[in-house]
Amino acid sequence: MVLKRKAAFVDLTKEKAVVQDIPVELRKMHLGGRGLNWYYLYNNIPPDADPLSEENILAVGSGLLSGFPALGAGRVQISAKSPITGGVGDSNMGGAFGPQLKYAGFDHIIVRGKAKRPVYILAKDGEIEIRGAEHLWGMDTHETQKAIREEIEDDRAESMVIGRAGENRVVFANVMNGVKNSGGRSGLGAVMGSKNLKAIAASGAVDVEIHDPENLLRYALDVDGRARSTKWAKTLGRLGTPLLYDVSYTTGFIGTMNWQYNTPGEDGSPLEAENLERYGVKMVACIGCSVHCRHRVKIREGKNAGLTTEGPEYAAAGAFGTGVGIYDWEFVIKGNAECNKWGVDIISMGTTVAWAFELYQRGYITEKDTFGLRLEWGNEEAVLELARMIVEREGIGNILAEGFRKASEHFGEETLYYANQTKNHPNLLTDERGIPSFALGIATSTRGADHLRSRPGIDLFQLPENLLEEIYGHKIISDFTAYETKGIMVWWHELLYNIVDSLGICKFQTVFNSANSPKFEDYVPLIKYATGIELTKQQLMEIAERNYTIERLFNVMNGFSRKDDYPPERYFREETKRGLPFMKGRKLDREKYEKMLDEYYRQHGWDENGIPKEETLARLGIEKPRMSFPVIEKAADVKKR
Amino acid sequence: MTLSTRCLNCRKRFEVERNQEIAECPHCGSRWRISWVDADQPKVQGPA
Amino acid sequence: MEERMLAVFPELCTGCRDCEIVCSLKHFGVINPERSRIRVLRDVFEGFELPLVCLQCEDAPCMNSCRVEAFYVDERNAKIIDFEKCIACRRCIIACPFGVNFLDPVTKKPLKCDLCSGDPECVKFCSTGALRYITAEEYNREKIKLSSEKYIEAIKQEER
Repeated sequence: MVLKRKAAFVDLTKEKAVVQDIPVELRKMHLGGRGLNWYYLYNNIPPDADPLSEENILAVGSGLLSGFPALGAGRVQISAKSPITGGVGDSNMGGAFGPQLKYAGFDHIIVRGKAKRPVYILAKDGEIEIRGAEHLWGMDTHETQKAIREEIEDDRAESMVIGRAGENRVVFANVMNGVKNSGGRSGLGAVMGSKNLKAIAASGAVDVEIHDPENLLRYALDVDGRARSTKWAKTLGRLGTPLLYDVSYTTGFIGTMNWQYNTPGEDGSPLEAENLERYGVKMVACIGCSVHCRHRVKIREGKNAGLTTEGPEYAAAGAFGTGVGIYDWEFVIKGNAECNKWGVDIISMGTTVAWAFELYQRGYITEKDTFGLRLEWGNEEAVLELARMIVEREGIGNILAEGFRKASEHFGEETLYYANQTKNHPNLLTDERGIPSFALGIATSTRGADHLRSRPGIDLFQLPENLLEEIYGHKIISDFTAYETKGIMVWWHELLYNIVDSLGICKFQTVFNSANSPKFEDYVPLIKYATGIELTKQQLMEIAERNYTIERLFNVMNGFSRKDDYPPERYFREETKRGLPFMKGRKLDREKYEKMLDEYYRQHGWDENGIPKEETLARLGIEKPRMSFPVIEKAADVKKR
Repeated sequence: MTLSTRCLNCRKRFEVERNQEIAECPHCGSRWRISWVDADQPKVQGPA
Repeated sequence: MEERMLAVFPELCTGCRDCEIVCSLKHFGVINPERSRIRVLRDVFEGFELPLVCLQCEDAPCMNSCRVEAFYVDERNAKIIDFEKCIACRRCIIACPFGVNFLDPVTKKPLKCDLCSGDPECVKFCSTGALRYITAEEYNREKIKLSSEKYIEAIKQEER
């Protein structure tokens, strides 16, 4: 058994840390990354903890396979109690930090308490050091990373950092690495900010030992080749996620002017993925990825001439595009670049700004509230300025930086109707009301409205039912407008994405938007060759069920239940106005939705209120939370500077 | 080698000729602007 | 068989570091890019990727500098270090004019590309063709193709 990997438990209040081996038994129960993060957090965060207090705990977990040469295995999971939802806060970040954390000698870093001064944690060659960060406070995310590299004299060091948004505890602040790699959604940048933690840096040359190198190399090449040869991966490698824009604006499922419309129609054609290519320098990749789905772009002329950055993704085309009625890649690139430096979630920012624009349209917000800023659709300047005000918490920005629920206390309770959210978590600029499986996914996601927790992208293809049965192991109805059996579909994707996040591989290289991508059974040999742990497909799915149910329990402990598992009310009341014939005039059917939710709970072994049943907990071996954070007083002091 | 892409309207795959820029889905009659990911892979860019 | 070389096309490198990962895996059975014989110089903020690897010089300064005859040349013209003989003096690292003879942080011995007995692992994993094991003729052909593509692209930009 070569699995000798370590976790560091850091107490910022005491400025002390202890390093422990991660027991192999825990691996067999939770794998790593997201799964293991939530084992630690479920057991150690008290249910009544304020997310921005020192009681909250931040878990950083490199996936079990992070750093491996296949399937985009460069990912890391960052988790804590979310300041947006008050429940599961969970971010999955690509780029280079996850693998680098392993070379620094750690798989997990668990941080609790609050530092008395701004600090950063340096993980280096198996040791933890806590360093002062007064000189880094106020820097943007790029400057911070460069300054740390210079300070520790390692130009290959990688850091996960916060920018101004995290320092200011904007509830949707990100953790960032590189130019644009985001520990996004969930507001974990604000959690770091509340702990006075500017960054975690990783540096070192610790071997990651491998059980069977020869077979791993052979199998990695094979499975990676399969993943990157799908039509989806090839298109992604050329056009990036903006390829999704072509599908969603043509069909009619992209939120437009805060979901008053479901596509801009012809007006939106400038944002077609192909039109981004003129700004392209080349496609670049995260560590361990052969798909290379991200653009390096450069604006070569005009008022933003010289701007070189990475991205933008599909989500930014919604946030700085359709959501606010702007159809110009150059503006999207600019907004995207600013958000990345501020360290703020582009999706949440876009959805919040679009909400404010609609409230302005309806008179809930006036020029008096905005210091004269005219929040009119298509007003580029107003979008960027409002975004900046949110990050800096100036004026109305200070209200919007608190999230929908608190902000609606200010603007009037009825304004919450126009906020596209579940569990108070801003949704991606997708319009799910014509696609029941997508709607169920955003509604039941443990981190609140989100597309990356269970979205069955392939539902849209209406694949033959025999193929669907082969994939899902259940009879699934091909028609994507159906509600029946979609609860099972969403359940299956929840499990799959949990495993993917726990292994540290990329969601774009599993069954998400391509039926031919690798899935559970394809990970079995990878895990075996890498670690020596032998699992069956069935056991993998059971690990995913356990991990997912623990997240659900964490939410239940914090007051969540069936009442929190509904998509935005607007989806039930207002019909779509545009799009292809089958997407026009559609809204969700309440009665059918309830049945779909019932089916989904049944599939999970949860009761009709969405609470996991005792027998389910027993089957999965989930016990009551018990504090497992090591007693740190006895540990040796960490190095301090 | 047949080159094909999926129609966004009827969701069925249909054949496209190499370098074709506008194509009509034979199943439902929708007309699409086609772009090429590479020489062998067409995709729908938007409505024609 | 005609002699081949490990050719680098930086404009195609995406910075995924698969080459570094598989190099350490193949030679040491561990993943550790600091023990790889190929390195990608990457700065995402400045926006560049440059794979660095031994060029197998004809008149190789590393080999010429060795005082214990630890170097030998195999049938592929790879200059290879015999670690039984190597005394870890690191002269060869100093001698390399390109800085592509690295230092293993664990063994303290040099790390230099050995072309994996004619089947370089990094090339197998490089998905974009930024690394290729090709003949001089193929290399020239590709270089001309890539630079003419760049030229055509530049003209197109002008026309816009």
